[in-house]
Amino acid sequence: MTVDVATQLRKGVVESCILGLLEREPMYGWQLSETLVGQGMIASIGSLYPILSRLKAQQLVSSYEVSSDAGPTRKYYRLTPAGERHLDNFRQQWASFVPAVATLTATTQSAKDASHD
Amino acid sequence: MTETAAMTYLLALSDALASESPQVRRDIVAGVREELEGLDAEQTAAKIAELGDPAFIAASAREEQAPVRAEPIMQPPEVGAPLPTAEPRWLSLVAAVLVMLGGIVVPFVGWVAGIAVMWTSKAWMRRQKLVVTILPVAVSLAVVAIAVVVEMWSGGVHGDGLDGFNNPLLPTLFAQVWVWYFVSLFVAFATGVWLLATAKKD
Repeated sequence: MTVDVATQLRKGVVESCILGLLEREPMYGWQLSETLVGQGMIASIGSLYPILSRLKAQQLVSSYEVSSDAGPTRKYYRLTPAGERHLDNFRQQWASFVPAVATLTATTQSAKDASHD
Repeated sequence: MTETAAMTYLLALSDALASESPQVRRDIVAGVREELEGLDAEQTAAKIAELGDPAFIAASAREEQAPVRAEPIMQPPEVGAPLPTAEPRWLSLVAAVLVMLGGIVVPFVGWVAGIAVMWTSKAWMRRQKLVVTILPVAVSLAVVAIAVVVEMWSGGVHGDGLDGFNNPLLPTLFAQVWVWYFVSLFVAFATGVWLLATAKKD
């Protein structure tokens, strides 16, 4: 059985990536979708809303509407205090996770080189 | 023209999302509608091309909601803590049968043994164990109390002036003891059946 590693990895981190984007600024759906599709984190806007729905249910993000004379009324998403804490926790975990995985999955030669250094 | 193209796309998207949860369907259609509002024909066509096939969007939504893994993360046991072991199924069975019938085989002692085994088992909640322990004792005491009251009443009516006369309608002490014994056995049996019916299977 073939395991789609990239899909599994993306699913594991995409929620935190959205939290990271929303920490910078509140964003609307299409904005988020364009960025995440561009980075290969989601397949399409269809993937985004189920994730946002989960994040809202966990009270990690909240939404609000902004009306504009120049364009359509848009629903913006922003990070909640619980979302900020979740993101901080993810960053700490990730910082130790990445080097650990890199070490464990290193090729034989690079592992030898690392042990000689 | 623009409205028609946008509306056609939104309807196709809504149809494609028919099997999704109402919340997800509503959110996706609303999100896409935001993007199509206020665009001219050319912009609408470009945006629709960028959004892609509604069937692909629906497939993405479905894929995103598919569970990745359901197993809970195992927590390591504390250092020095005994490793949890599964309780053998027969333990709860023995406890329930002893509570039900132990008092018949070996009066009182058999029932006490059943209660002792029951308290070692994890098949029942503490509250339930308390009920099974206390209820037969409480009922027995109630029967004794009633017997004492009846005896006192009987002595009060017939004890003076009517030498040797006993009311045949009132139970003798011997009969009272048997009533107490059978009521106790019945309550123990009933609580044993309750234990058997409510024991956790794992």
